[in-house]
Amino acid sequence: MLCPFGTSRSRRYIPWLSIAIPALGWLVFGLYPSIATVFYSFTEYSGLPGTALNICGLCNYHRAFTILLPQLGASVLISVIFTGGVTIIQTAVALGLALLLRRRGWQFGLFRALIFLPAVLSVVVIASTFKLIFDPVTGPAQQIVHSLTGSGSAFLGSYTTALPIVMGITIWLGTGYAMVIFIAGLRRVPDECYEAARLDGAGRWRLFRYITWPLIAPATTVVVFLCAMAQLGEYALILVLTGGNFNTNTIGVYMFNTAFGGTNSVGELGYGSMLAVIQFLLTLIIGGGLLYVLRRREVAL
Amino acid sequence: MINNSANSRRNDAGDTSATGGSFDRRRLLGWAGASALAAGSLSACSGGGGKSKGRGNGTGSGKTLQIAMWTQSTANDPVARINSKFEAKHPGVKVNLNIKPNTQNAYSTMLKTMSQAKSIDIMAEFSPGVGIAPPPSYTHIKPSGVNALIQSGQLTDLSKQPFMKRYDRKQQELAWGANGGIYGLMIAEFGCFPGAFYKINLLDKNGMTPPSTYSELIDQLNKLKGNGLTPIFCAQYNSFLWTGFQSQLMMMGHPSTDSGEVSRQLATKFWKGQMNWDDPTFVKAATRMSEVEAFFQPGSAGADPLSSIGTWAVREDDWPYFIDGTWDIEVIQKANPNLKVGYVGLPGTDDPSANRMAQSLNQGWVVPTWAPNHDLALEWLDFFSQPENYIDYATSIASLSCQPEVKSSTASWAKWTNEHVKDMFPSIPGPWVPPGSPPLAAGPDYTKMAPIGKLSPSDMMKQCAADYTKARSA
Repeated sequence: MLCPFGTSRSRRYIPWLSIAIPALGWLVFGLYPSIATVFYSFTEYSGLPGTALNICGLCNYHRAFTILLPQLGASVLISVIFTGGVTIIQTAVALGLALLLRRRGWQFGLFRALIFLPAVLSVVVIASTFKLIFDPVTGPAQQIVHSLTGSGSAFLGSYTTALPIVMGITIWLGTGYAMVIFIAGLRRVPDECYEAARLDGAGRWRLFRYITWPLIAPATTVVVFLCAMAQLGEYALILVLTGGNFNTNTIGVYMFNTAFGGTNSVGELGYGSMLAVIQFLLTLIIGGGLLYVLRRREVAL
Repeated sequence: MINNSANSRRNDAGDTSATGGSFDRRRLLGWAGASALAAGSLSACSGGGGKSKGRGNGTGSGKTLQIAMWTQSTANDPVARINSKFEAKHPGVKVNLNIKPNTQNAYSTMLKTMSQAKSIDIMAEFSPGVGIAPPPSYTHIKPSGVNALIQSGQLTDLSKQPFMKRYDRKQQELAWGANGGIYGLMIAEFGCFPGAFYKINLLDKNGMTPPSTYSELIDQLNKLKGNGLTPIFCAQYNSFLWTGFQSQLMMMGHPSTDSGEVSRQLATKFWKGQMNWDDPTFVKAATRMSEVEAFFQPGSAGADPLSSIGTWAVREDDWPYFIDGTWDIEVIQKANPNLKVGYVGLPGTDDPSANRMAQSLNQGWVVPTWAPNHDLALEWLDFFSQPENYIDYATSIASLSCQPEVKSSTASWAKWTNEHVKDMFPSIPGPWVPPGSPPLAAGPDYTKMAPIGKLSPSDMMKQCAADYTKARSA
């Protein structure tokens, strides 16, 4: 098909132009903020336009690893627990659902759509709804817990329950997406493999263990990697649910609250940027480690 | 593959030479596409669609005045009414009210974005610190927040504006004074530390009236509990009790007018190492806060603040007290129009004369020096300050009047506050805390202190003192 634009001379620039527009977008909205974040991490900039940058070298890093080490350490630990817990449980639940709902048919499609539904809802709407559900006075969760145990809970206002609840909501939110990836992976497994295994007398567990599990290794890699990366950067849901209180101050929430402050626009963009750099390094280490292990596992299987 | 490409190129060339009309059309299409792209880019770069830049004159014909305010259910309507009247008085002027909630830092993020684009004329801000802002130069504290804007010369000094004469100048200086100027216009103040709504009929039914000393308060709460009631309803954890009790205790023996000086002395003593959070006064305030919190409804720390107001109002047979600010009176009355409700200051000491309510010097308007419609913004502030407009605003949000000539609400719920308003004083804000300090340097974390958390009040204050020492020496 002929290109309707330009002349034979000008058309040679069209591919370059096509690349230039997204490249410009990436430079402005991707690379520049990243470099700026690293730069701001060496300042005591308030984040308010027109105010002094206050370049201070490694002051934020020094503070983070001295007087603020307990806060940083707790935040990193919570992030690791949150990411590990959500990734493992979400992957397991999504795989289970994918095995149940992989078949074609409108009934299965309906259930798949219902399970996928939370993924398309606004995080703020979901968080606000769950805040009402877990309201200790009027929420239905309290009535259920009270009828089962005879006592109540502060739910999102408790050091014992806040983190598990936030993790549970995150898992509920992301399971549908992971399930779809697993279903795509399961449908790529040739039926012949199952038939051959069945002829050899393999039962359901053996089919899963020796056929399904190895052959969906690429899908598992994608699910685990994407889930872990998403949870390391998670802040919006937690911010609405608990504001980072009650042992839910992940590094993402810590960074957001520090950089963008609360009332009176009191933010410490410099220190917040340093936290973002640490978050990036944490993501790099965990993400790189996961990819290395999962890729090796794919080859081994 | 190579041949195909070559053929393709040849075919294109052949087309071009063979059909002149097609060539012209394509070239035309190409130019049209490029022009559209360029026009789009240029219009995107210009931003604001031709909005006037720099200081506009006061007439403001064809201008849009941009105002930013955090979400307040009761303030939105009166400000919108004032805007409509202002627009009617200034043909061609449109006033745009940008509203975002304070929760999740949405409002401050919007302010930063609009400031970056220099597209805001008037911003709502909290006072930067009663009587202690900005920190003196010997602290070497880098200014942050509104203080940073003041220090960088980005906020307009309103001290000589004619509308300032309508307001209590001393309070305006306490709220917004810095470097000899007044950089904001305080328009709302609430006597709310430590304040609570109470259900008049429920207290009557139990033969009680609001207490006047701390011992009476604890006795009453115990009796209410003994009568099978949950004495206090509270949503999440808030600063009302802490700010109120420590302000009352710090102000003991001082006249109300001394609050600015007391605040300055406290901040100075902290900075010089002569006082810290483990001082007996603060430990007593934290202990009393903890004791009162023990009478909250179970699970209060997890309650949703927004839905809690209505939840408290509709239940008439329990929760006699509700710790909150007067700004929520409209929500309470809408949720239960039949509820007979009063508002009272909770006593933090055993000396009735010392149990004065501390005020929150709350919302202020600030005008950036670079505001696109700077003069028009000042005109709007003048218009807002006119008594008929200000009274509409102040009564709607249930604020104490900041203008001596304008009376505060005389509604029945405001009986106690009106009787005690003369004794009220701006709350004591605490010490200067450098940015990037450990979190407890600024005061206790209510969520970690008993009964919500595990730390005892004295342990909490010891940790606060340790964090403040680290912050000061860092």
